[in-house]
Amino acid sequence: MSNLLYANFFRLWKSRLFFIGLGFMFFAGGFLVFQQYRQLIGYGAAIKLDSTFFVYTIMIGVISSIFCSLFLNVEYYDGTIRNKIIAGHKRAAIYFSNLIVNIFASFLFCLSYILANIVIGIPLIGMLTISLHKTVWILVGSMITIIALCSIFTMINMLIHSKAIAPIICIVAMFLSIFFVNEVQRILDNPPYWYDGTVNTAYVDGLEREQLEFIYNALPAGQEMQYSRKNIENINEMCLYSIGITMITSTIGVFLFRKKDIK
Amino acid sequence: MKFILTAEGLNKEYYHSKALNNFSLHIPKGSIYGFVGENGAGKTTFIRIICGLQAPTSGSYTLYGVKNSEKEITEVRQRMGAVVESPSIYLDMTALNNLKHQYQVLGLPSYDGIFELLQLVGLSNTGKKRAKNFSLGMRQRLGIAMALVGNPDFLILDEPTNGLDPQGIIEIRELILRLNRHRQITVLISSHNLDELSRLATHYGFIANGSIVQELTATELERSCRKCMILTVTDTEALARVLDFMNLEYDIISDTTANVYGKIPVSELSIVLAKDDCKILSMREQNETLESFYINLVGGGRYE
Repeated sequence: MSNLLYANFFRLWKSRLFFIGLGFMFFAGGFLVFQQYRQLIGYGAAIKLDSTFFVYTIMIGVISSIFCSLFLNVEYYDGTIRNKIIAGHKRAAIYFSNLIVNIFASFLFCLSYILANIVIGIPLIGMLTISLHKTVWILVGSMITIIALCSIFTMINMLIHSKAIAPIICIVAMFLSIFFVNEVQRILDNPPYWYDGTVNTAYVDGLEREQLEFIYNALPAGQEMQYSRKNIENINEMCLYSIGITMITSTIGVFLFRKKDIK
Repeated sequence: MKFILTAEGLNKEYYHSKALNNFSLHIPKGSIYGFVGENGAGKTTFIRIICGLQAPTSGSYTLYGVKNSEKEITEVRQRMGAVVESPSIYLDMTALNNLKHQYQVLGLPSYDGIFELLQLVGLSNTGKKRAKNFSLGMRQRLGIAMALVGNPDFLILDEPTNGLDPQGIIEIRELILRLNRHRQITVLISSHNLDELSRLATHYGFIANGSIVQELTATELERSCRKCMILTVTDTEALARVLDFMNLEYDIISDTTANVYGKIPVSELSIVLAKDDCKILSMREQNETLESFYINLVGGGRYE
């Protein structure tokens, strides 16, 4: 597998798409920081770097879905996956080498965003105000979520060889899950009582609340949402769900990819 | 090892169709094997199976003496190169980077020979031009170069001249001949361009409806397609004696029929045969082309 990894990283460094992704995340990080800085200067608002530092957790899902789809689908579209199989590589090795490169690229996209926050944000807005312990947990948790996302995107792209369908499925699914989780979050955020003590009829309780909380914690989009809000209350649960998603999607992906007739 | 690749009773079924049906084939070492068949006959399916891209439903094949059910099949596959349908190249990379990538996929320790390879396929001057800006012929040649990385001794080319202009076809043909003659690479070429194949192939395999109809050498095919006179006589022994005496080339086909090659002095032949008590019952000229041979072989009725 080391040969495949070496070859995949070689392709990654030659990929325009990868550098566009890195550039976009750096620009997005810098732009958000600058917007906050304008609030600070213009209105004297109490702005902290914390408000932008973890926004990458929401953006990375969409960016990864686009990158994974386009980067992997080229293998089918250009037919180069055949070279790897004819060269005698096991299909599982081909699958995992692609997954690893996707994860690595997605990590670098996040790093690019964080770098922009550090080099632009710290001089303009100042340091992070949340504890280092919490920062590290959010970083670790979000990275585990990214691994789960990449695992899903890799599975879809390795099993569907259509250049048009696979990226659409990944990107649309990512957007839909963000909208869905956003709605779940809105419902869960409802307080049981209003400020005047009256009962909030929109408040969801009991089994329904448990189900919504499960969705919110289990879906990678929900995890991203929570990390962006610096919420690590359920981090253990979320990490376990992500590890589970990674294992299930990788097992299914490798199993079906090994059986797949490649054209 | 006489054969580099053999297939015995291979079957490949898709959901509602049978792409290969009891398919058997033998590719001798050092040959240029022309794999001939119409579109949808099963040529590409067979190539995909050999390359490990698809698994046969039943039956087996042997590559370098290793059966497809053995673990070592993936290792021996490294000794072959293939261009299946379209060239497998990254369109957003240069020719050099494509080759470097393939060197890495194969785990070769250095890029030794990479420029010779580019030179061999005539792409040494492409510089930073990306493969997506190459002509079809250039892409095809780059695909062949990719297949040649790691010095394979068996090359599979699926329709290598498809869509090429006459110049491109000549270039590919010369490249294949060079590889076969100078590097002793065995080549399997699938094509439905019979004229093109006849300029290259040393052996032929004709496929129709997923089965090999006939395998024969270029000499045998040439003989089958040679212009000749088909004579039906009462005594072929007498005919053979006379033809030997007249120094004419011939093949005895049956007790009453013979193919006679070259110019025949008909009146002289009939006089001499009459003296030997042998009557000529019929005489007709055969002038079969490779095309008509193929059509007769795979069921000419459909083409009439």
